[in-house]
Amino acid sequence: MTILEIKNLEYSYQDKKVITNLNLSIEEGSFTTIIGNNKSGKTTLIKLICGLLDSKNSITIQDNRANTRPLSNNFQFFGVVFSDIENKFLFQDVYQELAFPLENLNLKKEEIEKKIVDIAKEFRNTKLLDKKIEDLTISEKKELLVMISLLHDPKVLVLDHAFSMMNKKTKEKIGRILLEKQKKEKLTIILTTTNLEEIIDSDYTYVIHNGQIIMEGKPLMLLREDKILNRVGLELPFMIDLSQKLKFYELLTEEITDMDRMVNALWK
Amino acid sequence: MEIVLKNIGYQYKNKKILEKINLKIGPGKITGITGNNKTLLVEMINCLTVPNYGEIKIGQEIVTQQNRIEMRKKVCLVRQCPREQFFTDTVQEEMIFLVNRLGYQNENIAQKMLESLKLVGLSPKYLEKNLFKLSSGEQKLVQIAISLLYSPQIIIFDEPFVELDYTNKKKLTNLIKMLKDHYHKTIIISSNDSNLLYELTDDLVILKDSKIIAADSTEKIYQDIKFLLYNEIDIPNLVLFTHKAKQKKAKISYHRDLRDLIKDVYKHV
Repeated sequence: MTILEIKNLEYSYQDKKVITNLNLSIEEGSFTTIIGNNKSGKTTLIKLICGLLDSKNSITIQDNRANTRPLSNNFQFFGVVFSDIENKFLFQDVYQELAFPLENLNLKKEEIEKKIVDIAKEFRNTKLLDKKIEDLTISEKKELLVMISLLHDPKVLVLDHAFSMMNKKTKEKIGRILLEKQKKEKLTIILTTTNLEEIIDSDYTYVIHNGQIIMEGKPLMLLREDKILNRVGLELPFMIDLSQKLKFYELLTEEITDMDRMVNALWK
Repeated sequence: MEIVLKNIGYQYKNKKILEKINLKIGPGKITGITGNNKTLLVEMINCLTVPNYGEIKIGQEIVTQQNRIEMRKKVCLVRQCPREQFFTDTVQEEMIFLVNRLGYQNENIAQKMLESLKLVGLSPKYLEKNLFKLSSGEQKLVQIAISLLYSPQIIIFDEPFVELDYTNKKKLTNLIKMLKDHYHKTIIISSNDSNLLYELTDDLVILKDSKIIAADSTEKIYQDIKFLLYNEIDIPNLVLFTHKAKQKKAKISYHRDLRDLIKDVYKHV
């Protein structure tokens, strides 16, 4: 089922056109990635998708949950994480920060507590709850933002550059948790990034350039188009780059994204 | 210009953030700093934050409360988000603002502005452009151009590559290399991107739990796998691959360039 459909989307800031005639559709429970360079219009697209900018009815959302008020509709439907972490926190304690959005939903105190403990357990990070915001590292702050965005059980999780500046360990952990949530709870994930390593696990990828979709397809197919990707300012992931060069010298027969498997294939 | 930190410490509300930092940063080299609290350390070198104890020596002079403002002209700090540092609207206004503030009496200032823009690879058109409408990559380049006006000997980049795309990353790495090779600047890069640090830096400093746990040549540190694993430091892809190949008894050696590695693999498969 298509959960989100964009048809002929146009957007301009004053007289500068940022998005031109953009079409894309996202399946329920899929993991979609959107890649493009710094000026391609990714963040504008994300803001349009989650209703922070006016899309003039070019975006249709398929929400089968009844009784949601139109005003709070977008807020409950989407969970959003933006790239910057400054000015994102209102309180001193991590716990208060997590409780605030739930208090806004008028939940009972016990319910709020349960939800917070549950999400912390899911992220295997209950220690985080006792910490103060000012003591957190950048990776922990980003992890907290992802946790907050999932608290109200959104149908669609939107991540705008959310993994930049995270250390490798946190990135892998959160990636695993989110993929698990996608499989089990049919969470739809949309991720924008310039780091192509993050698209390998996704189901479908769109390449956006100057506000238009210039390519789309399965990530491993797209990654073969290294010339086009480089031209629009994107860099191949290390393992894909290495695979393709080794393939060129006929040392490998296919792309391998896992390092252990590649070493095993080369030195049996 | 050499930087020497002698027994530096910093405390915030009874919490030790940096302690017993002894460090020598060689002139004309690219030094990487990675780990916790690296931004605080570079702010100290930029004389923005005063340590609780210890002394900082930049060139021949020790930083004191009196000469702090003067010393700051020797150091330029390019922040992760340059927009936090801009005061005015256009590139030109920002440059003139800085020149006035520093009290330079230079008639050639128009010429100098164009030169420093050219150096970072931007056309004269950029003088008229609005700072806040530039992309983050361009903002970073503009900020470097602005700071080149007062020719600092030391340039610090705080997380320079975060959120930059391939083209801008390439531009910035080439610019950093050029500033070192042709202008003999001392360059400090604070970053958590092990791949770029391995590619770009000569020396490396690793901070962990408020202390320095390693300060040596980049090659030496990144090829000590046991140490990296024990301290949970990200290993550069090129090193990790070679390490795994070596475990399979492949006779390849460590390389800092992908093409060299592939040549080596070709010989030893």
